[in-house]
Amino acid sequence: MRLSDQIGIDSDIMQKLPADVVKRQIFIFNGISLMLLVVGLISAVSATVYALILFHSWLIAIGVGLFIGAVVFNLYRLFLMTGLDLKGSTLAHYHTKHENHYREHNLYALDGTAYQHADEVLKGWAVTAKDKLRSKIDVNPNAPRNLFTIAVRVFVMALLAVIFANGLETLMFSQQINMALADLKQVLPPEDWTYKYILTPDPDEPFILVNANSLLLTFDALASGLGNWKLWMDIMVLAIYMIPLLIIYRSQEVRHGAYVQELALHEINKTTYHYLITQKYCHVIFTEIKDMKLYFNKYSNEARRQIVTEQK
Amino acid sequence: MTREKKYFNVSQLLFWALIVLLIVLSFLKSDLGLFNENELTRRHLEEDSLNKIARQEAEEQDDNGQDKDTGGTIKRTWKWESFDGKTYTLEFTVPKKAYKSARENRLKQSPDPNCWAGMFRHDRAGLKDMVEGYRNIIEEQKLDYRQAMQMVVSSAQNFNYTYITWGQEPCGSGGRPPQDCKPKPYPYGCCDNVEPFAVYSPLEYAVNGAGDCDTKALFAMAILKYLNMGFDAEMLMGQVEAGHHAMLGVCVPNPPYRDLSVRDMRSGKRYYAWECTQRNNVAELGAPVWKMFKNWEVVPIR
Repeated sequence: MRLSDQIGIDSDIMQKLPADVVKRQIFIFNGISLMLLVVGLISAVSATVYALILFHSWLIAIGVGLFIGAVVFNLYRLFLMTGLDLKGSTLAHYHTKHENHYREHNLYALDGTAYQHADEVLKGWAVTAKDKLRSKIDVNPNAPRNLFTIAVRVFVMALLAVIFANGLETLMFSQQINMALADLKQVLPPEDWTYKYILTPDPDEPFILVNANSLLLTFDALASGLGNWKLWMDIMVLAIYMIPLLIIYRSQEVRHGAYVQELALHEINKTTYHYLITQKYCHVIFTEIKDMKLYFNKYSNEARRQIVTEQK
Repeated sequence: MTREKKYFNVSQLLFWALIVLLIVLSFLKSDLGLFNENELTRRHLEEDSLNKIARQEAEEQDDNGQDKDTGGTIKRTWKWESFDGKTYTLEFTVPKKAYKSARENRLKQSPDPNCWAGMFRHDRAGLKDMVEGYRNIIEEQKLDYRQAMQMVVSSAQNFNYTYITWGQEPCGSGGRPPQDCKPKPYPYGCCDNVEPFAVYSPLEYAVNGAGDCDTKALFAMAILKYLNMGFDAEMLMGQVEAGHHAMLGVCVPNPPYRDLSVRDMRSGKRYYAWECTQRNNVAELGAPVWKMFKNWEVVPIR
């Protein structure tokens, strides 16, 4: 199983492309899949850190981490796959309105005669039409995109990136955060609320990783300890989360790459074949119904309740 | 390579470079000094004026009017009575940087008895002034081998016992008193979150005076070794009826008792256990504190 299969790439549809093009496309989607897995892993680790601070239990934390990691991976996968569209490609003209395809490849001319041919023959016509369409592909690399959907995706991923950056930094600097919290505890009077409820663990729930019961105090310690470095580390994590999206939207090899075109052709081909098959079986069924010589009694109440058929 | 190909390749490279950078940062974070541990407390004190006033008052109120933090150094004065009935006074300074460094070094250690050696090696420079003070006492008073050893150990025993705990065994639980990190009479003080092995380094003990069995024994052993005057001391660890315990081990000729002693299998020497948590516990008086004494071993500190 290829790595790219994990994000829903069907490499079999690229059979008719040159081997080097297929190899490059698979390399790219393997790379993107690996990036998504890393992003999912970072999210899982970060969520585990959050859960450890909240629940003080490894079992719960790992469960929460795995769940959140899987959610982020699938969300990102969804964002990427739905980001692959045909804007700027001539295929969009046929993909969104199949009638154009039928008209240009004389498939309307088959109306009424499709039944005369075997399914395999119809399939062959659909494939021929697809191959003709492939030769017409032209791409405008500067075609405008739907900025709103891009903005929504970027916003959601950026929000997640910043949230998970905090968890990751907490893990990285847990030792230093504990030192800062221990310092704070030294200056707080024992009757202080923070001292009693935030910095002192329950006897049956010892602290794990961070010696505090509060996410906010942990982030406060992190932010005050790191200062401006926190911003730089957030930007680093943000960049890690944004790069796969950036590739999808900006890389011509992905946006207008062979896989996207082949996927569109594959879908057009499927629809065309089913269009022809439908034509054929419409005729067959229509003929069968006609041969049944049905009689409908318009005025009978009985007949209204059920279709009455009788031989003439 | 075409421009199209370049875009994906460069983006991919950037992604993995950032991942590697994050991993490297997580290993080098302490060395790069990215994190300022004091900032949280400073901000807390600045934002809460009542706390600030209380802290200033506490800092100004020195112990016996003698201990003061001045400039870049911390000044301390120790006064104690040794087993010979003499009272000794030791004034010394510790650079603040060395104190901070000792603390950071402690946190880098592994959570096992190997951390003792790491702290011992690190604190030598920071305790130079204190060690010179001990040396002066020994030379001025013309103390012999045993007297000098007793003088050093009695200084470590002088502070009241303080519980030293870590994250998993906090103050206020398991019969320990609530958090109050300073040496004081019963009910003793207790210091929370002393990672990674619930032991302060010798330099930290010199400044704070708070310590339990291993902190006090490590301090006494470190001073005896730093003096470089021929004292043969090591750390001992094992079990007594109260549980796991650590004591100072000293190699002395003709010891008065042989029950509480451990043979170092490497050197063949026998080290006699000296309880450092109890004031006036003198090895020579032959008054063992513990009835049970098993699984003891010498932890070589180099």
